[in-house]
Amino acid sequence: MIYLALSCLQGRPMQTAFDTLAPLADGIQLTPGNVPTPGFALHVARSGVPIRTHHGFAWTTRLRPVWPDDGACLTAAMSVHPPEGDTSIWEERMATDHALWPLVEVMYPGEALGDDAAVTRAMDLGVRLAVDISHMHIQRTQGAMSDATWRRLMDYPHIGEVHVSANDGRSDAHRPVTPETFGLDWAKAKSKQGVPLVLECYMHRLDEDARRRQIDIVRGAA
Amino acid sequence: MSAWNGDSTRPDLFIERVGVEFARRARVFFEHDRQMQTIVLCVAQYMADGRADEIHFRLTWSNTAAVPWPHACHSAEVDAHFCRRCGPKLPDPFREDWLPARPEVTRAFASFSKEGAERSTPMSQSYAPLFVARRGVTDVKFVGQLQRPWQRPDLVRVRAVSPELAPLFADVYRRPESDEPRHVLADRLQAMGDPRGTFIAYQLHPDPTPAMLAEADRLEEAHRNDWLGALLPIVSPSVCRFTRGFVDTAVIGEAPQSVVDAASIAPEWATVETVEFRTRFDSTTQTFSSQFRSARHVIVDSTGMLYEQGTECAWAMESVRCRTVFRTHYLAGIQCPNLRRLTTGAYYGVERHIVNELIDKPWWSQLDEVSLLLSRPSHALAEMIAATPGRLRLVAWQDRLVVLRVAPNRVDVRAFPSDRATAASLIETLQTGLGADWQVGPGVDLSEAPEFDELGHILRHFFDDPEDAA
Repeated sequence: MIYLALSCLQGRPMQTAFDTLAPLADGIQLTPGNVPTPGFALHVARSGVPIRTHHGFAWTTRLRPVWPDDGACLTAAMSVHPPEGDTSIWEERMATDHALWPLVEVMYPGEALGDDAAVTRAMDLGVRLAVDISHMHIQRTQGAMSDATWRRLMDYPHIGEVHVSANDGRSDAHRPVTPETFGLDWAKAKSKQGVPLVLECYMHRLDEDARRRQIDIVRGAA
Repeated sequence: MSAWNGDSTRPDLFIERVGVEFARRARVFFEHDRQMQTIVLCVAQYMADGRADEIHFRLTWSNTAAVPWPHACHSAEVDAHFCRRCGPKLPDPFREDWLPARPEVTRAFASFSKEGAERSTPMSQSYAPLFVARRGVTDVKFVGQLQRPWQRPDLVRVRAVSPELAPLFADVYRRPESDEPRHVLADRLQAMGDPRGTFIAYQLHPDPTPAMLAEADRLEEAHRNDWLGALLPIVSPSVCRFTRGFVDTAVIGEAPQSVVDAASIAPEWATVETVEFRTRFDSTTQTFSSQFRSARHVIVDSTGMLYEQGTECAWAMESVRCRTVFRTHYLAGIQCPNLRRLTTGAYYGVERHIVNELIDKPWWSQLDEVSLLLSRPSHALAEMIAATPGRLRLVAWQDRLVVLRVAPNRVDVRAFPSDRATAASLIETLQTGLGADWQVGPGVDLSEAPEFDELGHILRHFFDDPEDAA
């Protein structure tokens, strides 16, 4: 299934973003960063649109905390980013607690799970991962991940979600995808295996046709 | 940092505090470079999934009096405009931490930041001007425009703080519907010997003499370009109209996007009630979307130009006129609760689901006047006629017919003599659809009307002159 992240229209009111995006894809991934709309939870429930939840999404605030200092996970979201800052306690707890965590997203250099060693360790432990191909593009472009680890990650059996957008390899720009976007062919293959695929490029400046083309590209129809 | 102590929960107060701090540091910056004349503080919100969507500030400055915005490093056109990346290295009174990393910053400035910005987009696309400081002027001017009003609808649009006249102008722009601030400004300008004071006073006069009217015309002719201010680069001065001393009708022509961007932040838009786009670029309407939500009358080439932003927030417009055809569903998606008059072409005709979508809109039942150009009528037309309380004029250009409601329950179908058979068929369809309470019949011949050879021509002929069409 192809999901659109609510963050495709980040900053806009939740319900406006949801109503704009929902007709375009199979479902919506509810993400933090939109302006709360009263009654949004009921609106989503009544819509019948399949949803997934990500990181610090909350119905009534733009963002809620995910990781406290003790490394426990506060959210019931389906996937989360690793914590920021000092992650030593979190990394310690990974060995014992990861089975209790949601899918953890692979990041880019400077962040937890942002380089070869961290991703390798997570795979060694069997941590369930969400793989963002744009983050992987940054890691690969900046030389933070080897060919061998990237190949291993592509075949890693515990990938529960794939996130898709494009960038220039330097920063996480959430740009629209093209058929040549790094990792897109692999992402589409994972989708065909039943792994949920979340398109999360910013769509504020795309018209409706361009937004639909994004979905077509991810489906392989364009 | 003591400047940030105290109550900062109100974003408007926080913005003013940032302005004061900017003014203080700008004075220091002016001292570093004696050539520097103007400094602009720009703001952007970089979106980062799962993060705090941080607010970022950047400076541009100029060695001329021009406002150095939009900025492109090493631009050949404006070689006296600089930013930190392309300008001389100067001691920096605006260090990274000049504003505290506090939630108030995001709350206060997100509304004034452009959508979809991120670190790698060009400055002109990601940043928006916020404050302008000028050498020798104590106060700074707030030029921020609400880019995303839904973030903080309580923030006022114009918050000019510059000596003497600026607060008076700002009051006009803040309350464009009121004559009171215009009188106050006119009095002050007249006391200063500024001819605009006389112009405003004469245009506000409830019973002007012919001499006053003539003098107002003369002053407008002599000073129109000056008084258009920041609007001048993108409007057609000769067809702009001043009412109550300020520009009321603006016609926007083609201009480079950089010029559009620069003009879009002008506070002068606040008094514009009628705006006409003579431009093919949708990006122009998008740039102006926040300003034009307050326009009461909008004239565009395509309703698609309104659609992109129009679905996000309600527009204040009372009339919309589209000069060419458009996809009808665009209009169904636009929020326009005050709409009273609609004139447009409909590319796909009146299909049943579109009719249902349109007539279900709360504003449809309050329309005083609908003028619609269709490719050809369909049986859904009867439903539209029945659901439209006001004046209704429909032109089916492929069938060369004009449908007019000439009385509450009476509809005329007018045709050229050669098209009477088609008209008779439509009359029968409409009579069946509307029921026995309605009288549907042939109207006068269109023998004297121009041929239906070109859409724009039809719109002009049948819709520009209601008396002619009726």
